[in-house]
Amino acid sequence: MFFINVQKWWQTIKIWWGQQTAYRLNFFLQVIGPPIVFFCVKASLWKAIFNGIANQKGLDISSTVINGMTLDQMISYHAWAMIVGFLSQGMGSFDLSNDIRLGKISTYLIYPFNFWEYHTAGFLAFQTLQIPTTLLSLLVFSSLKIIALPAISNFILAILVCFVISLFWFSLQYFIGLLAFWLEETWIMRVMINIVTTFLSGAIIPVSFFPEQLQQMLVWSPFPYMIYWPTKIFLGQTESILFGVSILIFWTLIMGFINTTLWKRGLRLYTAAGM
Amino acid sequence: MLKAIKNIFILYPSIYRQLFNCALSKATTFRTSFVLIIIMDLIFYASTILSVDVIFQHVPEIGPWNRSEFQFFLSFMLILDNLHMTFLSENFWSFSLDLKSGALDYTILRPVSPIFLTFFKSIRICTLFNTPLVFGLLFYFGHKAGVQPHSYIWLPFLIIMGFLTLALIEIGISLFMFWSVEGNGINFLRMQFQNISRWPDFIFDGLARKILFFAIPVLMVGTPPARFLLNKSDYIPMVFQAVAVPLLLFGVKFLWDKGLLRYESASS
Repeated sequence: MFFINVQKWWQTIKIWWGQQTAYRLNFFLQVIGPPIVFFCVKASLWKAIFNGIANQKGLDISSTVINGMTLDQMISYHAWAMIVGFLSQGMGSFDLSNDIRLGKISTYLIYPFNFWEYHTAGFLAFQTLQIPTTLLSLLVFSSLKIIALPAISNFILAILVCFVISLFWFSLQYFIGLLAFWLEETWIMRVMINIVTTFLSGAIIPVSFFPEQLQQMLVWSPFPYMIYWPTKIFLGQTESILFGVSILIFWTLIMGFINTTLWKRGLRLYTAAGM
Repeated sequence: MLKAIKNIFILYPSIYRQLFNCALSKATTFRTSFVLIIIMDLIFYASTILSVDVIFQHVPEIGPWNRSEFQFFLSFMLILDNLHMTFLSENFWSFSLDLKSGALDYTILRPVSPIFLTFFKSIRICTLFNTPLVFGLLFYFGHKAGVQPHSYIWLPFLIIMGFLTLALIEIGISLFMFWSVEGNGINFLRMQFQNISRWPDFIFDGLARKILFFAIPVLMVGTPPARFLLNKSDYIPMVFQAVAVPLLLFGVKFLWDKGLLRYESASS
């Protein structure tokens, strides 16, 4: 029984790999391109900021410090943030809402591999596809001396943390997908979540730059643990790991509970044409 | 000649009025989406302004601009973004679908400009509700940045120029969908250039700035008008923009004609 289950998961993951890489240019432009452009814009922005301060104070740009960070540390932070994004913020469940809206879930209701399993396999497929992208990014960044590779224990720890974040991110995307039972268009919710997450997670500005009160408020939210905190782990700061992981697991469980409830309620509303 | 003038001033506005009416009835049908898009835009505006505000809590200037000047630039970009969301953005996604499904055939066959019909047929009415807010932000930050009230005489012209530059660049990029099997990737590429255009030119240096100003002129979208409003003697970038718009128009027409030769209708 276990072997049959593993086979089913394996075959489904392979199908997802095929689907996601069928159009390679599309995959590059949709998945890999945006984080690279985002990184370049952020690097340029911070370089201009540090340059301005250095000129103003008559300092060398490399010795200029803003809020405890030098330019090299800031660029390194954003490079690691990009890698964290690759490892944890997948797009594997984007088709979920379409499946609901177009009535495709009828097939899953009679398949021996249910809707949740199918999309979870999609999530795993996507995350594994991100591994080569991450390795290539690591190679490029470290050979350009933008990042210094951390100790192996820190590296493994950060990768594991990224996997926990990816579970939370998947549960969030799954939640948005399930809203298709009620909403005509779920992309709006996805964009909203992306904007809020990008801002509050420290993807543009490190959370330590935020006002103290906002930082205090965010401690119990999942946001700083999605980019800022794992990036810090890659940079060698491993304080409060247990607390961060606990917060992430807590929010993942909350989302899991909400998703289960939504799925049950949504199915009651669901009507499939031609059944 | 007379017919062309008649088309521009009578035929196309009347077609656009009908498209607007269709969009209005669609918008009032899906009311939840209507409200959610307004909220989404408000969140976007807040995150844009706040991101820069957080940075300015640690530095007095970014490049040559202080906080008010930078936020004035951002609010100008938010106006362009608001217009883009209202009049353009949905059409890029439907263009990708039209190419795949063969629905572009019906657009080509109609006796009006197919570029106009393809890229201006869908209008997102709800974002117009946020238009007063973005103009309010512009005037507020403009006042703080010391923009003279009489400078706003130029504002309609500058907004049109900025919007035209952005629209033509994005239409040009999206026309590469004629050469790709799956158009969504091109749409993501287009969005990346849009993201770059939201920043002032001085944050990029060297070759990157030259490429993004002259070759793929995304930095020409908002920086020249904002710089001109802040300082009237800084008009040279506006001259470049005035030259770029007709060139971009020519480029779009050229790409469209070449793309159509490549187009194989899926429905025929």
